[in-house]
Amino acid sequence: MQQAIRAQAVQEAPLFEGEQTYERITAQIGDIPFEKHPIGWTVAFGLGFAGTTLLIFAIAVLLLIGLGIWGINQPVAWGFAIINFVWWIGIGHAGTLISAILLLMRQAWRMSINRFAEAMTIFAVMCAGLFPLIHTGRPWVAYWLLPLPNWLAMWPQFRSPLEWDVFAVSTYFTVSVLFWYMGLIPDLAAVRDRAKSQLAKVINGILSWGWRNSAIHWMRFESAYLLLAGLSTPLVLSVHSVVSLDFAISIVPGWHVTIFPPYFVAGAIYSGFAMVLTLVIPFRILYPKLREYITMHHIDMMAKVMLATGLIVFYGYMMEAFFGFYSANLFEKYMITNRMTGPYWPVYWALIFCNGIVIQALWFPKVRHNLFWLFIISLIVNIGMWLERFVIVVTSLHRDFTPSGWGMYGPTFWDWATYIGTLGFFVMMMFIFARFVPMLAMAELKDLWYRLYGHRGGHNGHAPAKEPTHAPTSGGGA
Amino acid sequence: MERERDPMFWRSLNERYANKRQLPLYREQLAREFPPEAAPHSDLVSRRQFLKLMGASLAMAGLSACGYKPQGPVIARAKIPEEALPGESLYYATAVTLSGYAKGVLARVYEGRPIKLEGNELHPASLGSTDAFTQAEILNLYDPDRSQNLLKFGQIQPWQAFTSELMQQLAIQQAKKGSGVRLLTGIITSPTLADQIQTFLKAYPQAKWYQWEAVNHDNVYEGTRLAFGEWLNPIYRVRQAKVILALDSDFLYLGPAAVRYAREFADGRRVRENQREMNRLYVAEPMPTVTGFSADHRLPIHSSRIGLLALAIAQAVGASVQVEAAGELTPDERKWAEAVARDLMAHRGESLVIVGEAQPPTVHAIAHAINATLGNLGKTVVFTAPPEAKPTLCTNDIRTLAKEIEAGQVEVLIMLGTNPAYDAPADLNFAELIPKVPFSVHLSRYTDETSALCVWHVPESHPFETWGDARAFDGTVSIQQPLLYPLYANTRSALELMATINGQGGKQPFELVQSYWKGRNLVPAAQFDAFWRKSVHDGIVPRTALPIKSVALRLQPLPPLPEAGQGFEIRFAPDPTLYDGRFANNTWLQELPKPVSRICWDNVAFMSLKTAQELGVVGTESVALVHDSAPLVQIRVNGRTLVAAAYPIPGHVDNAITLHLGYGRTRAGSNGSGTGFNAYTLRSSDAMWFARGVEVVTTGQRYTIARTEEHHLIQHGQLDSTHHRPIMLVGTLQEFKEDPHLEKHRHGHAKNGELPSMYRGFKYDRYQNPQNYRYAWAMVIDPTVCIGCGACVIACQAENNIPVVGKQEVVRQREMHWLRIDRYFKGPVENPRTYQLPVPCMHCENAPCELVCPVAATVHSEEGLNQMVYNRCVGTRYCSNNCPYKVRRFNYYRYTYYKQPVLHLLQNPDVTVRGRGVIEKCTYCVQRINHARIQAKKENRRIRDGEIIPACQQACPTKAIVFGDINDPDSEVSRLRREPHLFAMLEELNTKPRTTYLARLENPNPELSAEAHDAASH
Amino acid sequence: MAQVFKRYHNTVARATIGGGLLALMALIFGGSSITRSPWWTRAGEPPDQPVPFSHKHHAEELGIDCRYCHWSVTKSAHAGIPPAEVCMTCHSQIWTNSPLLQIVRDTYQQDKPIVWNKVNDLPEFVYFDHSIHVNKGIGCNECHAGIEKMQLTAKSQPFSMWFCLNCHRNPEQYIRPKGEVFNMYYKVPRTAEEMRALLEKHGIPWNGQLPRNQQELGALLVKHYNIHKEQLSDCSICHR
Repeated sequence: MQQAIRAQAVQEAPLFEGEQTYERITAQIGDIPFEKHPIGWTVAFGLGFAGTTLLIFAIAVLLLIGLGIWGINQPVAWGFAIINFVWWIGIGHAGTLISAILLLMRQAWRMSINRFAEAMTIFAVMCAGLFPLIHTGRPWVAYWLLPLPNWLAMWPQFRSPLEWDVFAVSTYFTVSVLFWYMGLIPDLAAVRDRAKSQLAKVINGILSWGWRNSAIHWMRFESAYLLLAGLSTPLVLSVHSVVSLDFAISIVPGWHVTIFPPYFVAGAIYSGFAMVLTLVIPFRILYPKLREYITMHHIDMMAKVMLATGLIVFYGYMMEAFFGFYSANLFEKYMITNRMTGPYWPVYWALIFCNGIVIQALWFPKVRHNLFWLFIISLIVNIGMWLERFVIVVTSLHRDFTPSGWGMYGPTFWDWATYIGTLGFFVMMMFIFARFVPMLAMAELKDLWYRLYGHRGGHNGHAPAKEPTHAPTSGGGA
Repeated sequence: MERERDPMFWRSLNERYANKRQLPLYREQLAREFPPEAAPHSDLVSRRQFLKLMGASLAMAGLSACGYKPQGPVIARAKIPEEALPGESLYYATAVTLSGYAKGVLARVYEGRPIKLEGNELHPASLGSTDAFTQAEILNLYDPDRSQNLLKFGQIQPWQAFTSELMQQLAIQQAKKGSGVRLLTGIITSPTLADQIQTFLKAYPQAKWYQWEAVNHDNVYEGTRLAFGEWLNPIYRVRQAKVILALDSDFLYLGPAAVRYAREFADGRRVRENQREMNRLYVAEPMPTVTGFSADHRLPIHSSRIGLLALAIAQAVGASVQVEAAGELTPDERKWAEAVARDLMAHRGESLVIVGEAQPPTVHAIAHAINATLGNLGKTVVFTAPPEAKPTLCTNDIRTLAKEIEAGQVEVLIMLGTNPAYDAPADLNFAELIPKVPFSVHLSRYTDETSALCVWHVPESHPFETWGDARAFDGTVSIQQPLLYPLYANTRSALELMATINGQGGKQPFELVQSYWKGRNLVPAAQFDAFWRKSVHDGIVPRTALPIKSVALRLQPLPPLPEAGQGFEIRFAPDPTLYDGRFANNTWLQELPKPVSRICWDNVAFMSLKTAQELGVVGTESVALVHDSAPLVQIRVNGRTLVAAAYPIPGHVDNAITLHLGYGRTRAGSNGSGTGFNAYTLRSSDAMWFARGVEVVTTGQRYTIARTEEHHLIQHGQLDSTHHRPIMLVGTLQEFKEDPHLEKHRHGHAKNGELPSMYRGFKYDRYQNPQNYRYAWAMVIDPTVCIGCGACVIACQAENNIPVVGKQEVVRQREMHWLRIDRYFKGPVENPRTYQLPVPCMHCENAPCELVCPVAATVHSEEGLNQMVYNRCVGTRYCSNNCPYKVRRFNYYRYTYYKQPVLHLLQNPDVTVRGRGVIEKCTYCVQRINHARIQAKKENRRIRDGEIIPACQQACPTKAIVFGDINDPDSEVSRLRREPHLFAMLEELNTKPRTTYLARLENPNPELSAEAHDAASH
Repeated sequence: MAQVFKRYHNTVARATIGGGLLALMALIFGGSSITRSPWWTRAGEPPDQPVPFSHKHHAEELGIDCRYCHWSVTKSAHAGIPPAEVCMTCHSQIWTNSPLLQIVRDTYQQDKPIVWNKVNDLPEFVYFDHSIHVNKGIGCNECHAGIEKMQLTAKSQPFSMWFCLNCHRNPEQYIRPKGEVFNMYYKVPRTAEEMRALLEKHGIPWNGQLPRNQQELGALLVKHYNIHKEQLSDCSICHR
């Protein structure tokens, strides 16, 4: 196993850049919370905060006046809320995938981005979870979806996919948070020990549960971490499958599609990685230190994953179209034709452009190594994935079975406000995270460093004298 | 291949022109990818609204949070009520009048407040059904904008102030024998009121009494005078007619006997396994009407050229009519006329020609001549003396009155109920005349346009608050009895006002009416009480129908027909929902989609597509763009101008515009004022119904109109699949006789039902032991007889507390009607076939909505109802998405939020008033089902067939809707479900709807159907 | 460097975990029991009334039948609050000048209604029909338990949906012969003799096996009164 990793490290682009020692890793990453933050941080946080305020206002208005402030109507009774929900949940998939699946696959390059991706996942799922709640007509009784003991002698209706959502999403959120926090414990301890202010010491101390970096701690940590990884692996696949069933279970042409679960999961990972790139690239600029650990190799790997999943998604589109025409069912046929040539045709073709055409550029290493173009592409992909959900939700509903029931959907100011608001919230949380928590998993990096280059003092590229024989116990500094 | 590309069914010009869409349109579409109203709803998010709603919604949040809000008061009567049983409704017979003529109703009165009107089976104009106007009358009663105070120049005054002033005015007039007094009323059939007026006229011999109705039947009377030498009231025996020709007449929808005619028409048209004959209806009219939509053959033709058509037919049937006529029929029209004539002659004595009140007397006379020649007189058409108290020609009356005011001869003007300032012919400038009268009194239910100009405004009581009487179209008298204690202290009825004027102010309306009828000596004095009780109870006074007169044709020399060139013509017509404007403040009628155009809250200038293109209001390709925003055009009719929204409608005659009266009011009330465009400003006393020499110019502005169909139906391209959807089954009587199942027309319709399902179906098998009988409710609708009048929609709204959402919300596609009437066109845009389909909830046995609700708020009942539990609903709206029929409605706002408490009296206590954020839909009137079931269970019996009648079925004039139990093989609905031409909407989805339909059958004339069918096919 | 945390902080930490869990449970169980308590549901708490009317005195001590005042209970959805006229049928003879009845007399003379405070209150979306219940053998005191003992009237049930469904799902537990509906002192027969006597008294045929307990009696009555049990838990039975 270790040979494998080493070989990979030696042949390909390095996983580290510059001279590294355990101290340096700890110092470089662990000190970020205590250093003065770049002006960019303040700006970004400010924007995020503004967005959050907008979100709160939009929700207040919604609760007080009613869903009528949105553009939804009969027939299009689901609009931005559900689109955004699916979009955010999708984004929330990168984290778990990187942490869990890549961990189990022993992908060395995950180590330096997993913390980041997991944090992003959690915030994305927060945004996602908001929408199903506020999109109900009476959010104050939405708790009826939970199977609580009650005096009505009524249970939820377990046949409904919306009911499954409740469990899928909440489970996913819980596990992601645990996973993220578990990984943080040794790093928080390290931060605790480097902290200058008493307050920082106390807070990090409490959060790190008195981590003393003993062998027994490490043993338990490793096993717990692995267990969680195992636990969340199926979730990566289950959550978005369940979300896709929200549509697939129905009889609406364009929703009632058998390939939805795999196609949604692929889409989710796709958009997840796009979002990671969208965030990592600016962060590398804001915090130049990170470049030593998030190298072009990492970027390249992510781009490749994007390409792979992107192709799956594109295949999904082609299948949808094929089914539509091949089914010879007039409703299905009309649905797909209406997507391509109906009033919403620009959205559909924009989607194909974003998710089908643009990513083909990623075949070329040149593009994969050009941060600027990569950033642009990742943005386009994010937009593309949002459009995909718009196409699925709106163009299927607005013209279904009964022509007299047909209509058009258009978002209102409040739809946009809510959407942009969640974007703001997301950004704000990411920058708070950057402010107070080590952005990269120091412990894991040091572990990786050890596995690659052996004892402290080893140099980049130089093979260590001898194989380590015991479990790695690289300490949290101090 | 033409056939391939061209739609079979299409619902709008937009769709019709799907294929001919061109690139510019595309671009424009791209620009407006999102509809205009995507802008924030400033109207709803204004700060005041915000705060108000905050209160409301917080209150609601609290309410739903804790189940146990403080218990309210409960009020105990002081005395034991005589007949009322607490919590049970009582039904009282009374009558609703429209321009003087009565329609009998039974009013459901719950704990002292009337909440619903049903037809009175004993009444000749109702036969147990109602029209939309009658259904909506209950809302007029509770209209918060009703006038409540006696006003002098807008200042509130005590009653004595008025009486004293009135008395001294009359005293002055007394001296001059009342030469300065003029009385202006609507058409009056009420014997008691007429009697009061006669008393008055005796006291003031030189006073004059005029009557004015904007929608009058002067032409009908004049027509009978030309034909028979006297004014007569024609009554049609539609049931007896096998072939009916309607010339510019909407007899199925408008007029005092419309409900009865619609019923008789349907009775002659219903096709069943055993009854395989249909009457045949020909209609010639400029603008499609309810009647035109129901026709087997419809000819679009200018009103001014109907005369020529009538004349051609008259000559063809051999009626000797001499009248000079300019102009010629087109070959097609002539062909049509001859075919019709042959058909008429083939049915001597059982055919019928009806002419609308818009046609000049000559045309009426010609029609009478035709009927006489065909031997229809006394068979399909009979005559009585006019039922009116004083038959008159309204147009002459109003003209004379105007002249007299001009000449300053009028010193005292008393107006009972009319609104001439708004609806008098424009050339009389009545609004400017009224102020010239020194002492004017206006009695009306609203402080309307006329009240504003009068010295005194007297608030009028609603007929439901007082006693009165009125005649039906055949003279039958109904006694109107009060249904509730007057809502407002200061309102008076016309009777009371006249009594005051006649110096018997103390007398109660009850005494007036009763004493009048005592005086008639219809029965020996001893039996009067019984007679009176019976009359009031039944809602009709026995033996008061006018005797049928035997008449013989004595044609007078006929005035020439209107010079009928091909000039540009404007046609005025009563609005399908606002009539002459009197219903402008009735939000139910405002929001009822107009039977033909499916527009609400507005009237528009209807024109044919071709004309619209020639006028440049729409370009060929931009036809598809006539969605919610319609172009404004300026219409000029000899000097007068009006700006109105132009709207192309299929089947309209070219080079003509149709404007509906009744809109553009300025003082209708908070809902009616400022909606639509005032057609009266173009209507002059010499051209009451149609005028020529009209110019129309575009203004370049656009105007948003609300429609409940084809919302922004922006065109989609080459496919026609939507149009071949298995929505409706259509065939001709001939085809039905050949194959009752109409297999060749059953597009997607699964043949004999049982499709496989993954879910275990519900079992609805009836238990054999009669004790534990189980019902299975179902509904069958027969579109063959449905005329799409919309009475069912209003009835449903009244019964189920369905809120009105307003124009903006309708534009946003959020109308709440549980029952909608779908409309499909078929054939060439110039003159398409039209099909209408009432769509309530289908109550599917495999309901797609049920399995997607996460909280089980919509579930199946033992009896197969698809139940909707509002108080369980959290509002995910998934059910609505998953409903293939889109019959579910969602409360996007708190629509039922009444600032005026009086509206709470309107609510039906048996139906939950839905709050914000919940789904609602048709329940098959489950409250009525439960009521009947409880009664039956208490009496240990089964519910009888026909014991449960949903509101829609009860209102339907043509009895197109039948509800009942399909576990009972003998129930009517079971029998209908065994009919061969039964079909279910979207049957292939295997939803197993409980609401099913019979095929829409037509009875085209083989002679004409040839090209009719060619037409339909390209 | 100085330790941030002392040894006892470990205990604190553990206590926090345990305490948190306990607090959570307390919240759930506490909350649910509070919302079921009379303090919240007002069951058993008589509201103030304009006239201190005593069901105990009238129903129990004087033995006046329920239907004398609530006469519409057998025919209508509402049992009805008796008009003052009903009170006056007796009180024009007795207690004619009791100050307690002043309001009733005024009401009757001036024909102004008495405004009582509602005792048994259901939400607007619940449609309860008295007549069908009393006609199918559900006794008054199944819902208004102990009404005949109340000096001041209070609701004896919180009337939760559970309470209604409990009977709607299996009415056998509560149904009694129709003739016993207004009998406040009805007891389920314990012995076979009592049972036979009861059934004979109300002319209810049983074939073969005489019911031994409420369950069996209930089953018999449900059949006898044609109660369509499956249907009783349909939503639209109570909600429309």
